[in-house]
Amino acid sequence: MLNKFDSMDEDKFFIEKILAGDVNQFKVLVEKYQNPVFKVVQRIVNNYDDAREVTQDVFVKTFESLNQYKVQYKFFSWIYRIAINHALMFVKSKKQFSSLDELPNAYTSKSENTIDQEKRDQLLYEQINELPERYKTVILLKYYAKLSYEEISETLEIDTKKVRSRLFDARKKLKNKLQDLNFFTAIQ
Amino acid sequence: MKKKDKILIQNKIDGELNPQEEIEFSQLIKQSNDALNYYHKLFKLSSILNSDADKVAAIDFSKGIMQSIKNKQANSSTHLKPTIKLSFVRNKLMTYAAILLIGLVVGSLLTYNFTNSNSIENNVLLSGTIGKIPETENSIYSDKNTKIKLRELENENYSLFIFSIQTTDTITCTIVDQFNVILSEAVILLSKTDDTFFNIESEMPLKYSIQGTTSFQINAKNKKNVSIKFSGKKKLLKQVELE
Repeated sequence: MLNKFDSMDEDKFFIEKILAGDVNQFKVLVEKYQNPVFKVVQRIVNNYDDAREVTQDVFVKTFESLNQYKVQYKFFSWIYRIAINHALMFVKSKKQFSSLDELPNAYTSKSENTIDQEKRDQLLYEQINELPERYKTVILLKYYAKLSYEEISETLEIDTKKVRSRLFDARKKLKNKLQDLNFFTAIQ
Repeated sequence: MKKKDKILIQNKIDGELNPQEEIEFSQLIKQSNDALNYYHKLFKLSSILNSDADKVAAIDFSKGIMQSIKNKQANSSTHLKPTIKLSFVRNKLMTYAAILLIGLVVGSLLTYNFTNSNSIENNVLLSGTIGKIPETENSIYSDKNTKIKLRELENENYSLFIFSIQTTDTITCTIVDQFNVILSEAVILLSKTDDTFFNIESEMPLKYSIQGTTSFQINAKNKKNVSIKFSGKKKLLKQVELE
């Protein structure tokens, strides 16, 4: 896991260099954040190739807007905001252009006892993505970006108390949805 | 089981307990079977989510990203501002030309400001006196084609700014905060008529294009420097700073 708070100054050091014209230093930031950003994006778009494309776009957009970044705030908060917004937009625009038949089928059979790994992953993806956006975001930041409460608080601009209660509600909803689909029984 | 205890268990699983809460957690688990069961259920869910997240293989596509940035830079005249600044330093003649150009632009903007009495009114600062009373709606902009109203509702959890718009023109609404990237989840569409057009134009900055009758809300709680700009036909209609 990245030690983001310790490396904040390091991020700013590189950003200053990039803004001074040393574009190659951006590679350091890409290498540092590409995996956590990719994980969050992949969970939203649910397709490896799309996730690669979206992640790439996120970094390019980040680079192009770097002069708008305000150094008093944490870089990782900024990039996660860009990544989440961009991935959600990607999914929305993709949905607009795909027919319903092309979308993954909802796994609703309660009598099924054996769900193979692929179906389980798909089911989990669907249930996370059916959560309201505020719950989905907090789950993605917690588990896929591996952020602490404080870091989530910083990224979403809500206090840590609110992070706790939002995570609580998100997990409760997700747990209930998965329980209704016999998800836990199936993986025992 | 109380919600407080469930949150304590959640925080334990997330590794977010302080020493005092660790003691409370140990006592709770020893005393309550319900708490122990809840701990196991939540632990299972967390393990599933963690292992799902860990399944994503580590990748390195920094080379591709850097190449894409360099290609874009090569093909586009728009570079990062500082890069432009540096190249100006290298070329004194260009620097003088740029200063002259900036001077002309600033001059024409100032002239525009003095000749357009509307421009000062276009900036509204909500300092706590406007719209604090629920159900009070303030008209913040009005012309023959567009009407924009604002209502503010505030309590300890929310600071809601509700915009109601009626427009026959296509207007754009740009929303930014101190990061210049407000999360789209902060903006909630409340209502719109069937023939209303309310579309996201870009996410960075978050920009909507609107035509018809609609209302949407922004929760500005804990958000700093939120600024909402309404523009139509290349002209700023209204800028609202939420404080």
